[in-house]
Amino acid sequence: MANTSKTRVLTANRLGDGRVVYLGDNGWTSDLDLARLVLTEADAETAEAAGLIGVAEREIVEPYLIDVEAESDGVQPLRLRERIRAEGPTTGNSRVAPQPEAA
Amino acid sequence: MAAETGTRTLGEPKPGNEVVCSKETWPDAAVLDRLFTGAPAQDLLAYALKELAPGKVAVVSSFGADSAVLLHLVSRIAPDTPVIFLETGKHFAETLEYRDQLIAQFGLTNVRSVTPDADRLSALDPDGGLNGRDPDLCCAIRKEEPLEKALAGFDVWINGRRRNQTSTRGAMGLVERDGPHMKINPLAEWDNSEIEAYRTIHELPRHPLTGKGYLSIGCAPCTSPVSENEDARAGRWRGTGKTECGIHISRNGETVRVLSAGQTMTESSEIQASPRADIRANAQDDLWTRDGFTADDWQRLGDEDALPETGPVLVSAARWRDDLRGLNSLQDRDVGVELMPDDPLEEIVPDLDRLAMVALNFPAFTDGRAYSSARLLRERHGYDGEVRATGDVLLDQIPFMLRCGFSVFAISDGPTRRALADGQMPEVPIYLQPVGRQDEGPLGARPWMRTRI
Amino acid sequence: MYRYDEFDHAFVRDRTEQFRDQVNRRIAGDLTEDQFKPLRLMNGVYLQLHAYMLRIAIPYGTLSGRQMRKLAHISRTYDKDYGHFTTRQNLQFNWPKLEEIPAILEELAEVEMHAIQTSGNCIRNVTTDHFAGAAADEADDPRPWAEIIRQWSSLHPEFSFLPRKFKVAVTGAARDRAAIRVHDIGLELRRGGPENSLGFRVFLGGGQGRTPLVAKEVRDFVPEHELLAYLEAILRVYNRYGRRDNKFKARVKILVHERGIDEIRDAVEAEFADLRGGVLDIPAEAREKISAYFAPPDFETLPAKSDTLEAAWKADPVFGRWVARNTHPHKAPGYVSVTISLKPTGGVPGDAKSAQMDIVADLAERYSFDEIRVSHEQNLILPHVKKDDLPALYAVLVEAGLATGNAGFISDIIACPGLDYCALANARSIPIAQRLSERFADADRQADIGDLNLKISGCINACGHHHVGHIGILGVDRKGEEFYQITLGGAPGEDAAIGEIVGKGFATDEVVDAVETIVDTYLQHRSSRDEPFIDAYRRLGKAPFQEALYGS
Repeated sequence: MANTSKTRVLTANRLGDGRVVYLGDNGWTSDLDLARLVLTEADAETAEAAGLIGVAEREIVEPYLIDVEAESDGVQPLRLRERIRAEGPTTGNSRVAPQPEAA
Repeated sequence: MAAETGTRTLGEPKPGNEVVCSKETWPDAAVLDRLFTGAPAQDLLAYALKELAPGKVAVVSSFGADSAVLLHLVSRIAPDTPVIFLETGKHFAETLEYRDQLIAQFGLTNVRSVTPDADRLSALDPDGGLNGRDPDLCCAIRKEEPLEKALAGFDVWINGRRRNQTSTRGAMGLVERDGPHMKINPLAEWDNSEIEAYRTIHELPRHPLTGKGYLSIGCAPCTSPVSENEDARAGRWRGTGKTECGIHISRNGETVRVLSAGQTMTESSEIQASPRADIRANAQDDLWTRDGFTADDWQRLGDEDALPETGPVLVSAARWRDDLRGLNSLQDRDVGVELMPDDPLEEIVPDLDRLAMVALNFPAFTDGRAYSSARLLRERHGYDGEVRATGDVLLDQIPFMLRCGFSVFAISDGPTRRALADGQMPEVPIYLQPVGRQDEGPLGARPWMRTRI
Repeated sequence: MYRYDEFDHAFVRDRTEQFRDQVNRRIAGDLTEDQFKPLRLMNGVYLQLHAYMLRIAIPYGTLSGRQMRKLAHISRTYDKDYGHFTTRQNLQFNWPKLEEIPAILEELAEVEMHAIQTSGNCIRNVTTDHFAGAAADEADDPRPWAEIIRQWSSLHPEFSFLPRKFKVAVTGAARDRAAIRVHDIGLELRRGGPENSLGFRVFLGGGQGRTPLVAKEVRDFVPEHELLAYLEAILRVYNRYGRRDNKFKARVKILVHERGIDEIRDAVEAEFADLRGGVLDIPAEAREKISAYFAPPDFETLPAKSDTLEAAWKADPVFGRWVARNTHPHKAPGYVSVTISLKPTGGVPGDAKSAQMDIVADLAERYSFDEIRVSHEQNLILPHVKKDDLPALYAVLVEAGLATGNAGFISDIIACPGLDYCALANARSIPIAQRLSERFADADRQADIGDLNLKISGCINACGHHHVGHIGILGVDRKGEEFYQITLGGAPGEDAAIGEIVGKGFATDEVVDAVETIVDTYLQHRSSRDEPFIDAYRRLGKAPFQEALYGS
């Protein structure tokens, strides 16, 4: 708990298919580990500006910042809601079925 | 401008000031609103404190992010003015410190911290977790009910709300009627830069949390920081859809208290004057009808605008009323009345034969009240003049509006204008239910569209 | 069942094209998200946690085998091979792509289905008794009326931007299986009036959500030909006067509560006086034409008692128990309505795999005159099954994992999707339902406990109907942790009641134990095996349960 300043990432849903995405260094990615870490207020402003551009360019909808914990083995959201967004439902039929989108 | 810190506190008499005020002879809120629009906030404050209801005025302050400006203004006129602080028991510690700091620095001598009723708390929020379960109820017992009690001895209350804080406050007047009280919002017209300027000039201390992204500060559990492009109040009750705690919600002219009931429809339909020409005026409107775009030869008159020499004019319901329902200066003129959804349709029904047009405003396309108004005008009251849709008129709603009897559409949305110019109309031309007009078909398509012969 | 005529076909086709155009305009940038959102919602498209969600209307919960197969096909082709049946008798897909939704809607239109008005602030899909047209106890079949209301409300030009969503439920029986008293409007079809003719008792202003209220009777009898005029009067009063300043106070229940039912009744009556006898009046021949679609199938003349059935259940007590729980008396002798439980032990309430949907479609065609119903308890119903056919039907269900004999038992849980899927949820519902059904999996124990409905919502919006659960569970977020509040004594039917909070909530790993404590307390205190949980609760009050849960 030494970490006093919050680490955050910007998340959104892709406009075309609604899938969860994060702002990375090279555009939007569905891999949270590739998300750009927001450490300062200046980072946050830059990230949110990128979010607005993403909305304007109709790439994504509803961007917002989430709190995360960045460890050596990857990035983990702090809130359960965001963990479920990142990892998918914790139970149920969508976990076992094959993805229809093979391509 | 409004932030100008002039030395005059009570300047030249203005029309209206000479009235000797008592609660019974108060000027109409709308009159005061017009009188002080554009005037320094100090003037309105001084008027309220010294003339409107001396000794019967309270300031309500959250000691939040923006509170210092109003308190400073008040302290320079009358530092002994009662200031009500709703001590909900859920404030940030920083807020309480800030309160004490401002009291000391401004020399406020009459700050009253009002706490919730202990019985209500133990009945409704025994574990202190109500804010998570039902934030509306929590606000009701921690803020709305204590405020109502605290205001019992006062006729006027002053608060620091501003129009640019949220979109929902965008149309707020400087002076409003709030049940038995007059409610004064002296900072309504101030924007962020004016607040900043005033703060800098007077070296006002900042709430300790404003440096941490909190632009609007309420109780700790229901306040979160906001990002740059959000409304300042977006961090309040985030994720709930709730935007106001209830002490500022006004519906149809009366303030709604969450736990009160039994308002009658006729009472709530007594609408206050709403002279908000600014949100209606839109010089760029294009008029569209089933036959295409046409020029608009109607002149839209703000409530204070001079009557032009000639030509048809569109006025607000308030101006129509003030003009003795068109029998004064508007006589012998083609007149249209624009109704906001809160304006009661029934009030103009007796005048329909004198109205060449009725405009029904959609303040947001999601506000569907005007659909009912249009059908009532056409089907019940037999009105056959122009029914014009104004406000947030978008492509996908026009088919519904046509069926409800709108004949002319004021279009300000770019994509809608383009689509209509291209001849697009996203309608489903088969109607599964009748409206009362007989000119739409296919008649007899559905069982209940057949009229009995 | 109802079959589209040329107008319905053209209507749905046009509507699909309209939405395709709206999606294209959104993707091209002519519509902003704010402008598009209400339009997509009116076509049942939500944005949830992981993806878009498409809610498909199943009008009054009635499906043919062909329609069910189409749903299976869509789930295989465009989604993740399953669908979720909801408490509004609808079906939800959790993973469709926005770009593909117009194609899905086109496929649905082929089988006379759509997603119109399954969301948004409009009149939603009308629901009814899942045993309608079959139940032995009904005064008349409510489905023709549900269909007439569906048509009247579809893209209603005046009522597509109401203050808030609006839900109508109709029942034809005094025994309320459609939870009409927790709907915005509840209609009970019954005989009344001076000529003892058919008409409706009308309830107004019920609902759950953050302010649960049981509806009040606004009129004891509306003659059937005047139903639409009366509904239009209610909707107009609501559209004009319902609150729009606070979305949590915008439902008609709040209007009724704040103004009082008498004032609302007066306003509705004044409006009705002007509307009745006009274009909304429904001629008898028109009504008969709609009713003809719902004519009873050609039932065989059968003895009430089936020797085949009796022999089979004597041979197999598990089958016998299934028959006892999962069949419902039918108006035609020798027939029953069958409940196919979508609540297997440890399963997700309301979910069906595409293969299961196909099997149910086959069974409906073979054994139930090609009819399937969806119940608001999130089960599937075969309404018209010969008792003689039950053993064969059951054998297929066992193979398909659909033979859980728990209808109305504690494991027949209603649960919303919760935080696993829903953007509004505060806590998960599905895992709680799974753990509870595992804890109470023992068939003898469930049979001993008897009728007990348990309902779980993952947030205060109460999609899981927890307010009207005999035992209700509400998930809340307490400082980042999931937490569950328990209510007792709710009921959805003609004895509708809102459950009472018993005390402080429970953590995720405590809540199943807490429910077990409640059940054990009931078992200790019931006057006899014949006193069901809800009766015992009403007799005892919450004190013994509180004591068992929290100590004295």
